[in-house]
Amino acid sequence: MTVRKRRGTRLGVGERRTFVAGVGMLAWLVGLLWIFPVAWTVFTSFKTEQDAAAQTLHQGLTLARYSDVSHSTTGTLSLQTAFTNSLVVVIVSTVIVMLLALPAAYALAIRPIHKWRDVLFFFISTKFLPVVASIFPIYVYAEKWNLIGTRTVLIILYIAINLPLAVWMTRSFFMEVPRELIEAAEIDGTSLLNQLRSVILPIAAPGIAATALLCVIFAWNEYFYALQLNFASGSTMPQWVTSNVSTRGNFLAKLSAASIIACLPVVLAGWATQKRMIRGLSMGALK
Amino acid sequence: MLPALLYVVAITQLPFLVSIYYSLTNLKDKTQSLTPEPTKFVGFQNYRQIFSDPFFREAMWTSVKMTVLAVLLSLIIGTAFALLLDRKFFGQGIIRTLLITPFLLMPVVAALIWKQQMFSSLFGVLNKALNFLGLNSIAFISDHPLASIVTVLVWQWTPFMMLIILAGLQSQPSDILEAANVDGASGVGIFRQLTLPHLRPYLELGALLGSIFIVQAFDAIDVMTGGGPGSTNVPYFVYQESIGGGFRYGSASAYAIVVVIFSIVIATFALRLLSSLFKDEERG
Amino acid sequence: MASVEYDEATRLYPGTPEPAVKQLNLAIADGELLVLVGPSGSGKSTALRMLAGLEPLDDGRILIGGNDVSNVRPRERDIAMVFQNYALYPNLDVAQNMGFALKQQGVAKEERNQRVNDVAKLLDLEPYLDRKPRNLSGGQRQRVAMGRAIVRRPQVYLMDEPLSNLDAKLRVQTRAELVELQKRLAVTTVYVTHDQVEAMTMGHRVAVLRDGELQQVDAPSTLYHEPANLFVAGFIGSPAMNMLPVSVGGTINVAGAEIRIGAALSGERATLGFRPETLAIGDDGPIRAHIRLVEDLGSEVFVHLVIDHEGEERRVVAKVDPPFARHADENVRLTLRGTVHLFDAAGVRRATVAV
Repeated sequence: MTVRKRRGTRLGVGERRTFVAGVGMLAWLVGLLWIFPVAWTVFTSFKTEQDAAAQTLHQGLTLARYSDVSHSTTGTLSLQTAFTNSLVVVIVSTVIVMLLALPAAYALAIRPIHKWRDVLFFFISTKFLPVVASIFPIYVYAEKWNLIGTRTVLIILYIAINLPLAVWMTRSFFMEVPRELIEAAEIDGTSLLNQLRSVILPIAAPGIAATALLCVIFAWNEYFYALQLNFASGSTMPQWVTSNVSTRGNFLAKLSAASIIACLPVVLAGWATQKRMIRGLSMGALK
Repeated sequence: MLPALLYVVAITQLPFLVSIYYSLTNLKDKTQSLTPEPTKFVGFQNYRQIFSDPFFREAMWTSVKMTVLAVLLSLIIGTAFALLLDRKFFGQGIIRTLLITPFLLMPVVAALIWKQQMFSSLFGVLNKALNFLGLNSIAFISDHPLASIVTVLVWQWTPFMMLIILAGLQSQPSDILEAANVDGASGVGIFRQLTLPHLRPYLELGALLGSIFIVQAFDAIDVMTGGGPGSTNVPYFVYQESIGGGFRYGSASAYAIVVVIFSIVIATFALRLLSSLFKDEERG
Repeated sequence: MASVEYDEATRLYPGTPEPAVKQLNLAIADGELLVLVGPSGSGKSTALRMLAGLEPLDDGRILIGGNDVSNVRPRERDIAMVFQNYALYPNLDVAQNMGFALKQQGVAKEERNQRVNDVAKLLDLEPYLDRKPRNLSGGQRQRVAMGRAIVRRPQVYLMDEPLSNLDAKLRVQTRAELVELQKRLAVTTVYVTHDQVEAMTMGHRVAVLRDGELQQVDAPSTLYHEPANLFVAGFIGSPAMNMLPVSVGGTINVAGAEIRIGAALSGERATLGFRPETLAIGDDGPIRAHIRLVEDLGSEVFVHLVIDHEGEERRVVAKVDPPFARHADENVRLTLRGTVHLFDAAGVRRATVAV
């Protein structure tokens, strides 16, 4: 059977087009189903409260809930304050985490100290203590040092939360850099800082981006410490969302709108950098 | 690298040590608890109580169930998704983006979404669908608290596992798969004999990291069930004991310490398994 | 054991302007060892993979044993392949690697072990049967890859540059063993390489490919002495054939010297090709030359010279037998003695004459 194709075939030998298409459709089905809860929430956020409660669409779509939720009313926290707080806390803590993690990863990967395995294990083991257990001593000290309700205390805590993971991941990405490149730089007399900048970082960049993104995700979404250690003025986005859970009745649409607003930054960041994150993960998350 | 080390030590170990100290006392918040006592050192009394406390045992058991179920399910489903996404098809990038999204959401939001939009007896989509098919509504959260929480956890963590496994799939050299093809192996055969062994370190990594995070699950429980029977895991239990209402900080700390020791023991075993990873690394 | 035929086989990778393999027509006899040779990008690996079923056909057919297998999956074609990087299964030991295909076919354990052991003995792999690939040297891995193919007793063997990752000495040794093995097993073998020495020493016939097109397929000596075109002439043989642009008349002017050539073309520009061994170096002779470099390999000597041809400096290489007394920077005279070829403006060989 000779068929003249001008563009070249993508099917493998013996692959039926229907099978390949079928797999593609299955993937689409799975993806759409998986995202359904989120899609439904987005849909709900554009409804009026009556429609939302009754699962109908009599009154059409509106942006009103979004504006409702963005303006402070008594009893709920202000969006602007919460957003700024979250932004500051997340950015500062992530930057500091990366600044601390890079040299640590260098020490563990490129010029390994003797007990590197133990050090790594130690780092991970700090995550075994449930957050809830350490809250009380932390609260006591935070109160003592007047840090309750400030951004500082959250920054400090988030750094501690994310640092182990950051060190672990950054180290494994550094290990991906071929030894010969570093040795060549050494021979050329490159200083440590320049080595980092011109040889190591370009190769490990996707991995470092992935690590930073993960830190941002965890810091932005963190709920417990923020809840326990804050007053209204210091609250972050997760608290802002739950503040919209009103006991006076189910304001589903408003809550949906609030949820979407709160999650949007991280979701967009995740979407934008996912290619890099996957490349980063496939480079060295294994080790 | 010293700064990082010092910092982590300070921030994480101090509370740890202080918790140990507290666990050895009968610390109670005098203003809140019903039976105020002056704080005094009571030695290992708190620890002895632990093992006879049925609530704690139940919390431990729930933790185990919850963690194992969530980790296993998200691993299996994550692997299935990774296999699906491993070949090129129209819109592959879009689907991958959609699948990742639950992981990016705030745990409280995820829990809220499922609680109100999906599971709710009054408004929930699932129940609406069931009714539409002529079946009775199911009160998911009140009747099946553990399953509901596990569902949310799996929904959020499957993308994480999927990404790790996807990385593993893509790191398998293609000429080995071609050789297996030429040698007569079927698709299933190739997966079972070659791909799965290749994925083992990735699966282990996913399980390890996933367990570390999932065992600490808190937000979903707080939002969905408030710690009702059958859905309280250890972190939530400790929370209830301490600032969540019990204010028995001493015993709460004791519980926590026990859990940490437990985790360290388990993790050491797990890392022995993973040490083969390290061994390969040292060679290469 | 079967014959292989490529019938107008074409492969165009999606998104590329030109096909990687263009309407390849090639018939390989049962039991023959055919070498596919060419520079990188010539399509030789693609052609091999098309035979394996790892690349689909965009046009044409492929036949094994007279059957059209163009749409048949690799696992159903009854072929065995040795990959360039060996592609050994990392989680299986040597015995399991070699027995893998048999296991897929459902062959019973005893027979499987028997066959694996036989082949292991043949290839000196017995001491390594329970080792994993990562604990083997390059040469050992190569033999395991071969063993894996041999155990199967397929209709056709396919080999994709199996020797290119070995060090030079091992390569030469393994090359000879391979040829002997193929003769003994008498299975049709298609062998891909970029190394023309391998091609010349191994194949019953050699097919030269360039940019996806078959240039010539013949026995090695025919390729050497009767190249079809400029490309084949320049590719086969090391050092490469010397080539000079000339004008054809009754005689040809080479570096100022007139050479008599039975004129087959006239009034055109052509290329004169002559192998290093046709140049004799002495104190007299029609061509003036200047020695740039002398390469003394012990058994033969290659002399790199410069001549002034048609107003330009041209480099030529001469092969002489030792001892060779002259040195670089000496001026000498060259004589053309032996077979020379004339290629027309399109590169096709038009005449071969003795001078």
